Amino acid sequence: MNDKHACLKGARCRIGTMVALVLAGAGVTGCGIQSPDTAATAAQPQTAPSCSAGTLTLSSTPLESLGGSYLIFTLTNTGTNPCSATGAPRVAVTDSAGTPLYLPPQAAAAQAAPVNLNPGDAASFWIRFLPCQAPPTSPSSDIQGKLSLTLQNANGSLYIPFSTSPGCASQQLVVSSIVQGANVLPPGFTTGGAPPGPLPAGPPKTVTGP
Amino acid sequence: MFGGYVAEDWTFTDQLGCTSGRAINSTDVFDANWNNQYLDGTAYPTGTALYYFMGGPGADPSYNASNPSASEAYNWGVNQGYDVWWIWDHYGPTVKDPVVFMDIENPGNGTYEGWDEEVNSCGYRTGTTPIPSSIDRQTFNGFWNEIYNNTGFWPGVYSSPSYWNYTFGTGSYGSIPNTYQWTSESDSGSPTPGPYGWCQSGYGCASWFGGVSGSYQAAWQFAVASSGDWDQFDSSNLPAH
Repeated sequence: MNDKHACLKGARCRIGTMVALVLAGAGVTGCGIQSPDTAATAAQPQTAPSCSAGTLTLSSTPLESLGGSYLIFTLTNTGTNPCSATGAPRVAVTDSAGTPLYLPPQAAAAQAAPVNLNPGDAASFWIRFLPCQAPPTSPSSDIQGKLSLTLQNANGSLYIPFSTSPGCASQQLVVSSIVQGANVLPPGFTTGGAPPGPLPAGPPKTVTGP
Repeated sequence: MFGGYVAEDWTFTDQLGCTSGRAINSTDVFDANWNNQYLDGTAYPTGTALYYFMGGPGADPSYNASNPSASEAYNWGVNQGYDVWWIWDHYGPTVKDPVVFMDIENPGNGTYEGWDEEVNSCGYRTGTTPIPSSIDRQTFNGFWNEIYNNTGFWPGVYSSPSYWNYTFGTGSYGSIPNTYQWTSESDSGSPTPGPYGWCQSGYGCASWFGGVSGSYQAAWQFAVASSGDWDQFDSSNLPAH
């Protein structure tokens, strides 16, 4: 009976428990368990074949914030057929010829559903670059290369020019999953603004310079 | 308890037309201001403050690398200070902690802020000539004076000791003993066990820059992880609540 109570409270129900309770006529609907017949007839979203790098174009724009800035990417299906893109791309830094230089530490993104792209449709994802404590170096010392972005289940990679200070090579990245639409901003960003609020009066300012 | 929040007022790349989108979480703004207003006790949380992702003199479209002008660099700082106020005045958010922190850092996403290099409106490098610390300081002073004298806010700065010293030096151009400071030293990446008295057991203590001490030591970013930033604020070291 302990299992029954757990199920009725909305906790996870093991299959074995469900069978036992149904046989007992205990009424366990609402636990989110479908019968085989129901599951077989549920509508399944159609996922297009995975996009290949050759039928996608990639553009990027920076988005700056304190303690870690972003690049926002837009993928556009330039092919003639629908295709799909899934999850977070894998990021590498290459030299200008495309030879891999290093793999930045990349936080795992949550699994996401495939995004279907009809011809001309766009999708977005972003990379957050956690703070790089190293100061900039002279341009001649910079790593001048490309960001290589490999989509899950896709053939080939997409590239954009990229340069960074050598001291930033160990900088951790957070890569979002691909979502529908162009230039979708990360959570916490807004293109609008709240109404201005009152500024409380401060104490007398007595310093005379920085 | 939600102790404080620092919202993004604007960025120099916004000002120059390359980017749009402010890092403002309206829930966090509300929570920080609510706690500031209604909690009892002597140590009030900080409420919501502002930061501005600032452009150095090399981000000024009128910057002349072959003959940098001190007055031009100063005016570039003044212009940014005015824009910070204008954007806040028109778009908010509600602020309970009247400090604007200049965000001076190496973004690491392939863009730069123009303190050590010429950059375009998006922050991408366009030149290779180093920028003198004396010129950097002019832009800093212009912003500082505009904020201090004409906006009702207090100027502050967010940076890291290594970046600050590289850019402004450790001499007079880097000296800012009277500027509220939010120092970054996020190499621990660990939000636990949490700091106490500007130190985190097992990870060391905050490092400050520019000769700041005492009441101008406002905040320490002691960890940055994929899950978010972790910052310690001393509300008694910040201006009126």
